[in-house]
Amino acid sequence: MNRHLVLGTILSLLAIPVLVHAASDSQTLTINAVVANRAKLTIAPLTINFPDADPDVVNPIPASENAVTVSSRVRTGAASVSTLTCLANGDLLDGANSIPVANVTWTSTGGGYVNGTMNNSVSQAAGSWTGSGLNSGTFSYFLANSWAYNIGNYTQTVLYTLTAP
Amino acid sequence: MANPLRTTSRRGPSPSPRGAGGGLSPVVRRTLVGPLAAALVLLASGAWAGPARLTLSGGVTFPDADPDAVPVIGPQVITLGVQVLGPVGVPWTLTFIANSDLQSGGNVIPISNVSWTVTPNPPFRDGALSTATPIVLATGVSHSRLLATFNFYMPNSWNYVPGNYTATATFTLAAP
Repeated sequence: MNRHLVLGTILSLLAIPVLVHAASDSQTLTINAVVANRAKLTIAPLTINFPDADPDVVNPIPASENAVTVSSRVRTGAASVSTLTCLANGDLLDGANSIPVANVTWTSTGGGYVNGTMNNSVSQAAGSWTGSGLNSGTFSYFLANSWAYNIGNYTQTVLYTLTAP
Repeated sequence: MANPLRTTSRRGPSPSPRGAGGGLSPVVRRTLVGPLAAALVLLASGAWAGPARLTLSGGVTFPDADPDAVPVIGPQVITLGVQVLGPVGVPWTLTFIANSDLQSGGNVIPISNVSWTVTPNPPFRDGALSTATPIVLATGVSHSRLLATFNFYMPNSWNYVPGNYTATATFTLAAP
């Protein structure tokens, strides 16, 4: 076989990988996602009522709205602890008459939520969680009944605060 | 005396006294025979389908959003141009694979959370990203010039850990 023909064939074979390689291409797509710290608290309903009741028959008095649903949604560091606290703005008041807000207690359901007693000077723990997540639960409120209460329509507000560091 | 006359006639009307290719030395002519033959074989077999070209425009950035208000983030839109030239009828395949999950430090959002819809469909196909298996986005035969518009989505969740997440994914166009 002619050596020049052999040389040409070799050159052509060397060219094949180049040609085949040219029949492919690739592109890289970069995908970003931004996730920010968040805290979102939902309580429903936002008003509860303790009806009048005979202290000998009903004690404590459950709120008519029990159980109140609560949802604490947080985005925070995997090891960060978020907290839910409550602080009453005063005692239950009706004009000059008052019922100590500490007479109001609650029980809870749901992971991370805790039972407690209202206070108007020190924030009370109502729940805590580690890391991000949606934490659902309930609060059921009770008022200690007493023959010593003056008659009236008492009211007060309580501030709940969800904090995610 | 007749033989020289017949020889002249076979060389045809070439202006060269040595006929077509007569300007090349026998060594060069013989060297070219191989490559030319190989090229003809390649073209006849359709083995060379190039050039294949992908053109990507845009990027994907999912912004932060309230999961209750925006349960699915998106669409984030990109366009991808696909061009396969060469012999008609050569098959091509476009695949897509993620190189990792979405990562921010040690925190991870599964890349399988990222999905897309695409037009035109067909030949392009909707799907979700994977790090394990290249997903066949489209197939076809040359010649092909297509422009695909992708809408990327990611489900939102309260479970995500805050951070700036990133990942890459690779489109590969092959016409074997």
